[in-house]
Amino acid sequence: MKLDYIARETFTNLRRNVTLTIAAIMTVAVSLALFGSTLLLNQGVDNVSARWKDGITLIAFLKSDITDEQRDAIETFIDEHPEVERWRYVDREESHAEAMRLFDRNEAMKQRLEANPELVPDSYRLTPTADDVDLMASMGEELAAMPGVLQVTDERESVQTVVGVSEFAQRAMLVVGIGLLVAALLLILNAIRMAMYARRREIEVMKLVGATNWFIRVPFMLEGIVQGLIGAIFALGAVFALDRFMQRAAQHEDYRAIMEGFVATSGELWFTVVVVLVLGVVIGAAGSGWALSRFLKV
Amino acid sequence: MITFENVTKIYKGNVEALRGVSATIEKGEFVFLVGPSGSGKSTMLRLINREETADKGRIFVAGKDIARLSSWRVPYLRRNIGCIFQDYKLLATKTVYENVAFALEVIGRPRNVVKTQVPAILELVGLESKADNLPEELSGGEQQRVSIARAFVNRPLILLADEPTGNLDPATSVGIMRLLDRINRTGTTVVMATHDRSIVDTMQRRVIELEHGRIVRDQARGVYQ
Repeated sequence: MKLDYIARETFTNLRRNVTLTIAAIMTVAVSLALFGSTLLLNQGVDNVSARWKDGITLIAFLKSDITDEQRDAIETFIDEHPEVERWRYVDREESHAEAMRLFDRNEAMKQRLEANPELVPDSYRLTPTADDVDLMASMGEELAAMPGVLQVTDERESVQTVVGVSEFAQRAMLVVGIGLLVAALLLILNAIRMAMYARRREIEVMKLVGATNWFIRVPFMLEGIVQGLIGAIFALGAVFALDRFMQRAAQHEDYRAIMEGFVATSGELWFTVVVVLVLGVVIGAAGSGWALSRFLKV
Repeated sequence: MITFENVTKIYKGNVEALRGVSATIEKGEFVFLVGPSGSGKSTMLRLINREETADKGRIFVAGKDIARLSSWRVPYLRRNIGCIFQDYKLLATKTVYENVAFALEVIGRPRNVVKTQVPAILELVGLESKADNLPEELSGGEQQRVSIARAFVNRPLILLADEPTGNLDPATSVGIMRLLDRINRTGTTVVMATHDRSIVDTMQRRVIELEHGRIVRDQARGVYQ
């Protein structure tokens, strides 16, 4: 009896206010789409810069048959260069773990890595003191020529471009997203206020005959929560679309070098999904709760 | 059943609606509140129902100091108090049956209770044949009967009536008063604010007269003036 009463009331309220309901849902959807995308991009950037963290711009991958003497020679060479602020040796185990993380959702690559852990070589990772691209480039060339070195990658410029652009985009999206989130909250507040106005006679009678406050409130709370939740579900469409786009870009020949690490793991994707859904519910509940506390006097 | 102890009520703008009112209404009594508009009759009713709270003094309803009732308990107080008004306050989109059933549904009464209680109370007020009509299809007197049915369907201890015959012609009013009298005889305390001299004079019940927020007369088996 109570459950079907509540469901019926919630649904009637939503239908009665259809234009305001749609406006509220759309605003929630757009704001959460921006919010969710920002979160996803942020995790992508975290992943890509984990590889280049601490300003590492030069990576020297080592051959698997490298000898200890060759290793010593490389380390001495690096130590002799004052433009290297610090360096770090990354062993096979750590490289393997890192690769597994980057290719979290690339099953073929993961299987290859698991079958053959040797695939990812050891490396030296170098951080320069100054922003001297040329100096590091020439040092990279020299390093590449040393025995035992497989390959040297210098990703300074491309990495900084990706990270810089995406940080700017993230900030802009976050600002717009938060602005729209506030707009969504106010729209829900108004939708609930309208619903309460439409039902003011019922509310008056309910209070008169002794309906509890919760009984009066629940349909309105649910109305707000349903609006928030539907908006969040639409927003998830945008989040999944962005994720697919990032995945494709990461596998595309031309961008692979830059975009390789720029993906969110499946765990991070689901984290984003949960955050978006929870935010939708919270906005809906907050908007209707605010309306109820302001306009529903006991 | 209802006790006012030195009750003062001041509305916003320093309007003193009640000034130091004391009165006791016993269980099963029928009491008229009379006096000119603005003398404090409606305020007394609203205080009993805790739609308003007193600024000074204490009010006891069914043995409880209602100022000390926490807000979540107020609905349970109101379940013991039925209310009727001059303008009926019926829901225009619901039928007679649904209007009465609504009062039981929203306090969580089970469906079988609703199914037995609503027809019984409609029979009591003489409207069993109008159960499926909308309020707008009824006369004023019939609408007031629906509102009485809604107020009484939960068998409250107290019935508060604020000018229930204010919109009705004398003949119809007599019918409404008979109904309230019947309800009173079941042991329900009835407190009725009214301007209707002839009703007060014929009923010969207790009369409390208010003026400028003070009780100026409290008389058993009284008349209007």
